[in-house]
Amino acid sequence: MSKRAVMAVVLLCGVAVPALLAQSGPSDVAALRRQYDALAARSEVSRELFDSLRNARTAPYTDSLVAGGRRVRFIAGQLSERDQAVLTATLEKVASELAAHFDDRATVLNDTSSWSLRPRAGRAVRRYLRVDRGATRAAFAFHHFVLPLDSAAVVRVALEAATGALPTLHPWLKQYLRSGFQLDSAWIGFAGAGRIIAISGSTIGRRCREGSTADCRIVLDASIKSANFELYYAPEDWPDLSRRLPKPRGIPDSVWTPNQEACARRAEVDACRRVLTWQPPMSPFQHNVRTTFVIHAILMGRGPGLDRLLAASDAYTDDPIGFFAHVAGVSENVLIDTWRQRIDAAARAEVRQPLLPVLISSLAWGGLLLLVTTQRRSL
Amino acid sequence: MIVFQRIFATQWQWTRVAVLSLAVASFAVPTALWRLGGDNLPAVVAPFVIVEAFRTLGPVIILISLLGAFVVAVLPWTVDAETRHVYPLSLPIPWRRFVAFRYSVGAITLLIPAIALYLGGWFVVWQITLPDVLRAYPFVLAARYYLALLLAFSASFALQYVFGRRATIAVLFILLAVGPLTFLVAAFGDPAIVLTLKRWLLEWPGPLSLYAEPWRLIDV
Repeated sequence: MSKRAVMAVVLLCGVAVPALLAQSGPSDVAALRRQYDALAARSEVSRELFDSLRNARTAPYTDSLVAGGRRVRFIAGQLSERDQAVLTATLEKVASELAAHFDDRATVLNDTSSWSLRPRAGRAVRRYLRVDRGATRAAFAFHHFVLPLDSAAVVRVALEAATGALPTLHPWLKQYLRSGFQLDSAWIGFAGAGRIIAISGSTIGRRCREGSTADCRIVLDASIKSANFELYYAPEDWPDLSRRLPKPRGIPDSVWTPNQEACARRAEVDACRRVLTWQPPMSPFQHNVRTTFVIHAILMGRGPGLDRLLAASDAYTDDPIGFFAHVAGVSENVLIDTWRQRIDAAARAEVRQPLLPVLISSLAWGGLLLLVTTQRRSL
Repeated sequence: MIVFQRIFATQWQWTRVAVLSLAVASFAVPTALWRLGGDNLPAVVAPFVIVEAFRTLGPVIILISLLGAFVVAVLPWTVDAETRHVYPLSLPIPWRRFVAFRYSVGAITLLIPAIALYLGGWFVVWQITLPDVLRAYPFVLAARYYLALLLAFSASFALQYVFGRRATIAVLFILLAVGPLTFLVAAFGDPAIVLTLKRWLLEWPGPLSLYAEPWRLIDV
C-alpha cells in the first residue's frame, strides 16, 4: 500500500471518527430517533401479530413435530429445517430443565395440549414465533425463544406458555409484573437487575444491595407512586436526579431554572423538593427488576413451590413479597436476601468475565493470520 | 538475534511517531471522556453518572485500535516498498522469518499504547471519588485493548503482506464489494443466514467477539 493510500485511509478515518462519535453521543435527535424506531418496531410487531392471528384461522396446520413431550403443529413449508431444529432443541431443553427444577410437577407446566405454531412472515420480527395454545388463548401466546436457555428463561417460557392463565388466577400478579412474564427484550436477567440496583441513582437501591432488607422491600414494592419519590430517592440523590429531569409543562423557565440550579449545584433541599414535586421521577426499580424476584422465588420453591403458586388464593393480594415467600417455602427475609445475593453475584460475574477465552481466541486468530501471511511473498 | 535487533531498530525508527501518537491518544481517552461527560459535576456523584460518562469508551478505543494498528502494520511495508524491498531481500534470513520478525516487532511496540491506556485509566480513576458499589478495571480494559490492537494489526498486516502493492485494490474490493453485499444480505437475505453470520463473527470464538463484548473501565 502506498504512502498516499495510507494517508487517504487515515484522513478518511479522521473524518469518520468524529462523525461516529457525534452519533454515539447523547442527543435529542438520537433520542427521538430511538423512540421513533421503538414505536415503529412495536407497530410492526402488532401488525405482524394481527396478521398472524388472522392467518391462523384460515390456513390449516398440516405438519407437526414432537419434542420434549409436546406436540407442535405447524403449516408445512413455513418452518425451515433450521427453525424446526431450534424449536426441537428448545422444547427438549425446556422439558429437561423443567423436570430438573419441578420434578413430576413439570407436567403441570409442560401442558400436554398441542401447540400450533406459525413462524412470522415479516423478516423484521422473524425471531418471534407465535404459539397458539388453542384458539381461545391465542392472544396470550407471543413467544420469543432464546437459545441457549438458562433456568430463568425456562421458567419464563414455561409459565407464559403453559400457565397462560396465571395472571387470570392472580390478577394482582399481572399488575405486579405489569404485563405478565416478560419474554421480550425487557427481560434484563439477574445480572441486569443487579446492575440497576447497584448503579441506579437511588440510595435505597444501594442500601438494599448492601444487605438492608427493609430497603429491598421498597425496591420490590410496585405500589409506590412517583409522587412518593422520597421513598426510593434519599435527599442525597436529589441533586443528581434534578440534573436529568426535563422541565415540566406549566412551570415557567423563570421558576424552574433557579430551583433546578439551586438543587443541582448547591443541593438545597427545599429547592430539590420543589423540583421533584413538579416533575416526580419514576422509580428506578420497575417490573423488570420485580420479574427477577418472582423467577427467583419460583426457582427456589421448586416442585412444591409450583403447587403453592398455582393453588394460592387471593389472600396475598396486598402482600406480593409474602406470597412469593410462601411459594419459595422460606421466610420473607431469607427470600429477599437470597434474591439480592443472586442478582449481585450475577452482575459481578457479568462484569468480571474471564480474560482467558478472549485471549485464546484473539491469539488463535492472530496466529492464523500470521501463518497465512508467511506463506506468500508479494512485493 | 542480531538480525531481529536490527529489524527492531529500523522498524521502531519508522513507526515510533505513530506508536507514540497512539499511546498519547490511548492515555488521553478516559480523561477526555470524563471531562466531556462528567464536566461541572460535584466531587461526589451517583454511580450511574460515572458509568454513563464512560458509555462511549468502548466505541472510541475500538476505533483508535483499528486505525492505530492499521498504520503500525502498513507503515514498515510502505517504507520497504519505496526502496523496492532491497533491505529485506538483502538480509541473510528467509522471507518467512523476516515477515515473522516484522510482525513480532509490531506486536511488541503495540504494548506501549496498551500500557498508556492502563495508566490513563488509573489517572482518571484517581480523579474520581468512586462510590463503594463501583470498581475500576483498568488492567482488564488495557489487556482487552492490547488484544484488539493485536487483532487489528494482524488483519492489516496480513492484508498488506499478502496482497503487496495490490493491497489498496484489496481494501477497495472489500469496501465496495463485500460491504454492500453484507448490507444486501442483512436487508433482504434469509434472516437465518444473517443470524448465523452474526453469531459466527460476534460470538466467541468468532474473530470479532472481542469487539462485541462490553468495554468497561468502571462498573459494579
